[in-house]
Amino acid sequence: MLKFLWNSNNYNIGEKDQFWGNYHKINSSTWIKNILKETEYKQIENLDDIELNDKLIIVDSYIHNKKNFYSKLSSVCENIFLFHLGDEMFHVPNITNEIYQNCKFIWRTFCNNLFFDNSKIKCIAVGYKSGIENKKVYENRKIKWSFTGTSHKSSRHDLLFNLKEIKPNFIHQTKKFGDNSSLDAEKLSEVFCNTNFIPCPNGFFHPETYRLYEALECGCIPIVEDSYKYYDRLFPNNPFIKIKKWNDAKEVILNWSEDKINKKRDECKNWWSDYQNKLQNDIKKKIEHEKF
Amino acid sequence: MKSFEILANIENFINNKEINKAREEFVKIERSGDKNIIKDHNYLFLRAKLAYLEKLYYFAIDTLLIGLNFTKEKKFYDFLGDIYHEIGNVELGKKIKDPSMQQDTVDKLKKILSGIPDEKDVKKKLTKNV
Repeated sequence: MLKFLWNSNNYNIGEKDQFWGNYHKINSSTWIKNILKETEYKQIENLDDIELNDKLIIVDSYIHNKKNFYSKLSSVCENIFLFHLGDEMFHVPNITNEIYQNCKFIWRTFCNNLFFDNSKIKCIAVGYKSGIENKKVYENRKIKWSFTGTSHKSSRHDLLFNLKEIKPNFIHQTKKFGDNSSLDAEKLSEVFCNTNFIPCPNGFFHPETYRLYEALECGCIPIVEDSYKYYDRLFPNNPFIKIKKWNDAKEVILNWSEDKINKKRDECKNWWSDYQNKLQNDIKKKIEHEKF
Repeated sequence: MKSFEILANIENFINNKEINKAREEFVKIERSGDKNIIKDHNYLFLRAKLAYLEKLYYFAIDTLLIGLNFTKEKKFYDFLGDIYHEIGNVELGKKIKDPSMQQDTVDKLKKILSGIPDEKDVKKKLTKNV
């Protein structure tokens, strides 16, 4: 039988791990359930529910701190399919690789050079935060561009400098990551569904953030930073607008015609829908047909 | 090979626009385990130069701002000012290049950018790594 265990918040090593474990459970559960839509499984709560010959889908983060857990897991289950979340910096490669060795296949968010072409590890989109999918669709979007987040480095500061005069816009700046003033998913969804363009600056450590996928989910046109051609390597033939500096986004947001915007929006919408369908089917095939 | 010798090689590669060779040399430094390198302003300046060559303007700016924790060399302000000019923030670029305003301007900028580590943050990171 194929079983499913969400483990990111189950294994308490320390305060930091627990924070991120809960964070991923809260924010990524809808995305992970979505990409497993075509796969039938039974949800379990702990290792005691695993029987001989079961296959296991496990969703986890901070695995480098869970070496003993994975050692125990591999003794009770040979067929492990890991969804590894949140490892932006490829923490502790030796332990992570050791754990990967015990898995049949790994899907991980936050790609890096080692994983773009890897037969056992597939990089997947970070996805959107749970709650963002409850969207309201506006016929004519009133907001030209929106930004929510922290101005932690020069890119975001320059983004606001270059684009702030283009109105109507929606800007919601927060002082630090995840602080109390951050917009909840419902409010964010409402704003994004009424916005044409979403600039998606790089994250603190890694180019990818939830924002890109929230933009796609709400039918917006994402504008991403073209750092090291990251998105073209992760998603060949993607339709995102890519810029080297935010000044280049000005012309697009200011001057694109309604028709051009609608065409690009459709292109993004179709791409995002195709990506998700393909991913759902690939995961199902990989788990069902993996030979042991 | 010692870090300063590698840095000399990197400078040559950057001057000849040999990006891949410069990258390879940086990897050598990272693998050498020399933790103090992250507060070596010559290293940071060359990282910024390479980022600029690759049109990674924001990476170059962030790196120069970190470097200004450890040096007040004119070349840092000049390069930072030139990059801001190139990305369209001409006023900020001018202020950074003006010796009478540059320190104040950079201090204000660093206060806004919460993710740029100051000297204390870098030292803390080094202590943590030991």
